Amino acid sequence: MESRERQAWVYILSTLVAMAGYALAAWRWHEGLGPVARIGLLAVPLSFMGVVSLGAWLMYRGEAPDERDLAIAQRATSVAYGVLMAGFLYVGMMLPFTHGGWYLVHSALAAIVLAELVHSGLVVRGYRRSAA
Amino acid sequence: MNDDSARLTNQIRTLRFLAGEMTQAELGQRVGLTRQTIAAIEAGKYAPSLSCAFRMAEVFGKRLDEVFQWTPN
Repeated sequence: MESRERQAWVYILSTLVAMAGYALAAWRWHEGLGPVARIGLLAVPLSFMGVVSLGAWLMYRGEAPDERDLAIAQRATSVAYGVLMAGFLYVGMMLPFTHGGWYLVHSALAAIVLAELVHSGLVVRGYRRSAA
Repeated sequence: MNDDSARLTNQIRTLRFLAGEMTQAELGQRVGLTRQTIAAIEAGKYAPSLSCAFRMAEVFGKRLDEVFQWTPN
């Protein structure tokens, strides 16, 4: 497995673990928490993902990408951008008429997470398809 | 990687052998690609850019069409 594919797997797994944990915690305890505690609860998975991403980046930062790496990344980014835009158009232009507050925050977060998963998934797929 | 790669064949493995068993890593270093990308090109899984294909041909001292062959459907 190539280093960038390994890096994408790290992003996928850390995102799934962090967001599944957050979804479970928010579902169980969110209603009983105050605004500051809610923000604190949200900061936990985001910090976890930040630390994991930084670690993965530090581990592979010395390897310069070649044209195949850039082509795979470019394709993944263009599709993930579409997913992110669709998600944010829905959250920003439709949901405010029916929902508010934390529902909007969680929906926006879901759009970001989905876009990130699509991006990392397409990076993995790109390396798998073009592996010798 | 793309539709063209299925129709693009190459003689890189043979040319590496004729160049004194040049390794994929060495070829990659000389043309600015990783060993994995050279392996993917050799296996026909990735179609390199035109400039990269020319650089490879230059390394082997061959014309482009002696290194890569393209068959239309």
